Amino acid sequence: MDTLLQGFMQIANVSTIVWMAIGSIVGIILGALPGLTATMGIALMMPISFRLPTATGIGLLLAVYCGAVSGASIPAILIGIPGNPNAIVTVEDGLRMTKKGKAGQAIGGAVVASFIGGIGSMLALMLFSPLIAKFTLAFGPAEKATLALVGLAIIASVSGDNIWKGLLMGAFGMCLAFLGTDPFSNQLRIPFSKYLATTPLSKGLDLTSTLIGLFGVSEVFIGLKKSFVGGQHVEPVKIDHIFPPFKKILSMWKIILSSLGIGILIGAIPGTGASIAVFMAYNMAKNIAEHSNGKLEKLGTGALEGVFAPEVANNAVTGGALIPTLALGIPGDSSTAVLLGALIIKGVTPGFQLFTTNMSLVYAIFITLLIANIFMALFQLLGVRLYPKVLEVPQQILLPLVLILSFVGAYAVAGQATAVGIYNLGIALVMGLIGYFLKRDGYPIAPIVLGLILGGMFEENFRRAVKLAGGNYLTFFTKPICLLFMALAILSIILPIIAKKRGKR
Amino acid sequence: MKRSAIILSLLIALIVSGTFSAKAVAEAIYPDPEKNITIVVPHAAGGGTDLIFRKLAEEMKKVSGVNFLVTNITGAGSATGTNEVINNEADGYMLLAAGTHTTAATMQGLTDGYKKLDYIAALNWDPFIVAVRKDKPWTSLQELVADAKSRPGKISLGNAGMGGATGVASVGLNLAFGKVFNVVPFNGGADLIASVLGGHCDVGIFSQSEVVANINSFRPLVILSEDHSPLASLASVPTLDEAGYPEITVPGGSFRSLMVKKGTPEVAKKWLADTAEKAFYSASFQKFMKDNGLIPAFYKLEAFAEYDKGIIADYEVILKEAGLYKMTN
Amino acid sequence: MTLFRTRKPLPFVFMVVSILYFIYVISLGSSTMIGDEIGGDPGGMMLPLVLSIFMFVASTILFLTDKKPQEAVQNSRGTSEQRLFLLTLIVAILYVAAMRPLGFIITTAMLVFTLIFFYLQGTVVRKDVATWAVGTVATLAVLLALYSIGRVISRYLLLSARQGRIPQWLGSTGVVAGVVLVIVLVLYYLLYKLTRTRFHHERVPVAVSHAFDACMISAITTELIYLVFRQMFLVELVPGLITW
Repeated sequence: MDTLLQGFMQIANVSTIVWMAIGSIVGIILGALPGLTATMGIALMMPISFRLPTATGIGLLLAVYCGAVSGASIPAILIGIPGNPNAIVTVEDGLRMTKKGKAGQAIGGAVVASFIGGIGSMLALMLFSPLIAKFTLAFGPAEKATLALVGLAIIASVSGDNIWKGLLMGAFGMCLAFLGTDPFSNQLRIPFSKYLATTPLSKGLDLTSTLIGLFGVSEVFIGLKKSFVGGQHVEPVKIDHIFPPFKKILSMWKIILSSLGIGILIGAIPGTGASIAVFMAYNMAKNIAEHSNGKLEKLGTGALEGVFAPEVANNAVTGGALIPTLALGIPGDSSTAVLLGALIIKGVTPGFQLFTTNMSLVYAIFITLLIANIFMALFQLLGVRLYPKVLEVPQQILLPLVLILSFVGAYAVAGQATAVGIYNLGIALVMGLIGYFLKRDGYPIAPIVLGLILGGMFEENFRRAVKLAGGNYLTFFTKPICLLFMALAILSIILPIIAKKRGKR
Repeated sequence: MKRSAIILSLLIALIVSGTFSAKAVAEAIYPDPEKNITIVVPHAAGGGTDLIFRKLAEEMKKVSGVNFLVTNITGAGSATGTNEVINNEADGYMLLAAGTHTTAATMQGLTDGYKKLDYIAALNWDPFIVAVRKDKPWTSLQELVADAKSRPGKISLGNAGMGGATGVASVGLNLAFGKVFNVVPFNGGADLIASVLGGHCDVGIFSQSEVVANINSFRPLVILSEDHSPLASLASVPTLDEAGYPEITVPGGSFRSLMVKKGTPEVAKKWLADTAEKAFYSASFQKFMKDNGLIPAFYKLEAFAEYDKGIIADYEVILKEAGLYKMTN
Repeated sequence: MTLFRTRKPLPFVFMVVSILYFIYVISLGSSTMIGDEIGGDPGGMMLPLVLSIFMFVASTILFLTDKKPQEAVQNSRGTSEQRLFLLTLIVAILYVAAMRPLGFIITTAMLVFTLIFFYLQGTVVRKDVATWAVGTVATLAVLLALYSIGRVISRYLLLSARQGRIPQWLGSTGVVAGVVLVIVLVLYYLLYKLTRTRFHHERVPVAVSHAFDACMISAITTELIYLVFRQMFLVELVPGLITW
């Protein structure tokens, strides 16, 4: 109790609150702008945090982190471009809700969901840190490879009506993931490697630029399909029922809890991240909704459930990723890696020792995480009535603006590196065209993204696991977690097919 | 018509005044106090290399008043970030966080690397430590090697990635011990720690701070440097000599330095080297190095170029022997 | 070619892609780890090969099963939409290609102006080209004026703060960007108020009004992007021709 009080005293000052408020606003803006990621924002704020007391500095960084993760849902819902990879899945139902005229509800719901995810994961961090950290270590290369397999099995559920289209897209995405350098031999795996070796292509496709191309740039070309002539009638956007009714939230308790659990666990496993967690949470929510006897809306139709699942999950990742960071000194994702660095520069050694020698700082970090989540929800709600105004801009003007924002976003991923930035522009344009042709013929885009995210993770860990076992491919069948995951992967492919057949009868 | 004329002249006046006054201010000598100087770190944010340069950038900002930024460009070992510096202007506004990773990447033919870079300042060494989890049976390097020799290929030796310095060190060690270890590359230091702590990989090559963070769970076997660690908690870890292998030489740590693209004006290079020197010897940076067990090795400009020749010579032998050497010309 | 009349081209494209990918992977050869005699690495060829075969199978199945609907809804666009599509494509490619020599500011303003202008016009026709050219020049003029004023102010603030003439916090990145943002927005608002009515009444041709709107929007959009991304979040935008 004494340490808790000490921790509280470390941050009970005006400067902490002010800096965290600034961090939160900066984070939300950063998240909402395509291409600027949470990791980049934290790295950008690091020099400021050096000059502040440790707890205040970490609070500032956490505020940026939470804000950026949640702010990314705004453009995803309004114009279908995920602000950063955390919000890929939010596009699915979020954009559909907007098209139904429920943009306000979607954004409001996303804020509430983010808040639930953030607070839930904070509680997990406070109460179960040592336990989850231990569990995290059970994840070796073999386990991660099979985890990636479970993720890939989700392709079936995000493929729309034709499963072959989904599978083809998933395979295509994985092939794209293999571009770049071989993780084991550092050999180049790019076409015309003789000439392109020193170009940024040697590191493969950048995920964020690819996403922006597939989602944003392609949307502009598709928007051109409709004629502008005759002056488009723009409907004024109605903003009502921003807060989802309490009853509605209660009815979704299964979705919320499962998304929370997925977010925390995936966040806590190093080498994974929010982009995987959101897909898994969405898939789980889809199954839950299908077996709810009509109490919940079907996902993929513009349902609030479809916004809730990924938004709870991606904010749950924040607390989850902090677990191994604080308890073991192993960052759960790239954002927490920077946080860890900030702690080390401050002279604090995270890891087991932190909990025994400097518990008051740990408590201070917990409390700042709570404040960060409150600020995140507060500042986003202040703007909820404002953001949807974007939709009142006529298409002729909105489309070029979407295009330029997409381009700038793809470019900005590289930060100060202009050569990489221009290369990313090229990726966004090419991916935009590919995305346009695919969408036009009814091919789903989400499996490409899944393949791209999981392809590299699967290949690397698969090879590492086999190598560790001295070339024995059966190693996957000797580990209980792997067996469980493989069973899960198979089930998640088979069950929907059975359900569909039953439905037809 | 009168109104439009007014507007037009106003606009022209704005442009002319704006352009010229801005241009006048811009005509300053290096460094333009308003421009940012970027340090490209070819490794992920939050890692060991990144932290050193973030701290250094902070100090360089303090001593010079110019804004130093750190940007992380990862990929292809460290080649993508190196190429970014090489592909940009040689104007002195972009520095590379170079070091042994640059040497390794250049020799593996992933980038033109040091052939197209100029020397600014050498900074420090972070010696590697070979460690195992506490509950493993080996209490010394000799026990470990003896066990590995009795069942070749069964004991795994992890590194943080083939392109980097730990990759070269692990391959070098394996060659020295008769290729009895199963060398496995991981995706960065964090991935390696988690795998060794989780028991998925037997032995790992770490930097000191990584071992210190988990000192309760790790048993350090040997430090790959000539002297003992400057850190109190690791000071008792034996060197290769003391562990019974005086004949073995491996590049035993990661070395960090600052480089710029070849052809950068001498004035800029000198200014950068002097600024780096002041920042390096600042009390705060010295304390940071001490806290993290970094061994200082400051050289600037020509002296650094001389120093790097020794590192290149050491690396060439091991990379050639390991079959990793692919540099052409 | 009756095959293509009833079937969609995309699966065929993917069949070709997967075959090319297969050949490419084979030609690249497997790359296993070097300097390691123990082995056990499956190599870099395995998964790409499996995937290329899988892609081929999946695309073949789609090629055979996914037929065009009977009524063949030819969603053919009108010529004006086709022209706009082509224009967008060309402008986008030029944007990426011209970024390095011309710089971020100029290319961005031209891209946004060109697209908004022609989208508002609803098509691309020869007689609009003159208006477009004048509009482009006007856009660049307005933008450069805003940009240069912003630069002068921010340089002044940054330098004075470093030399200690004004308090340190006034010269911090965020504050400078904020101050410039406010001043630029006020100036822009005044300019817009002063000029708007001149370009929006019945005697002005529609094309000119559209060019005016496009000019105003593209200038402020580019400047805002510059201020937020470059000055606030320190993203290095290619300077190109604008070196000050």
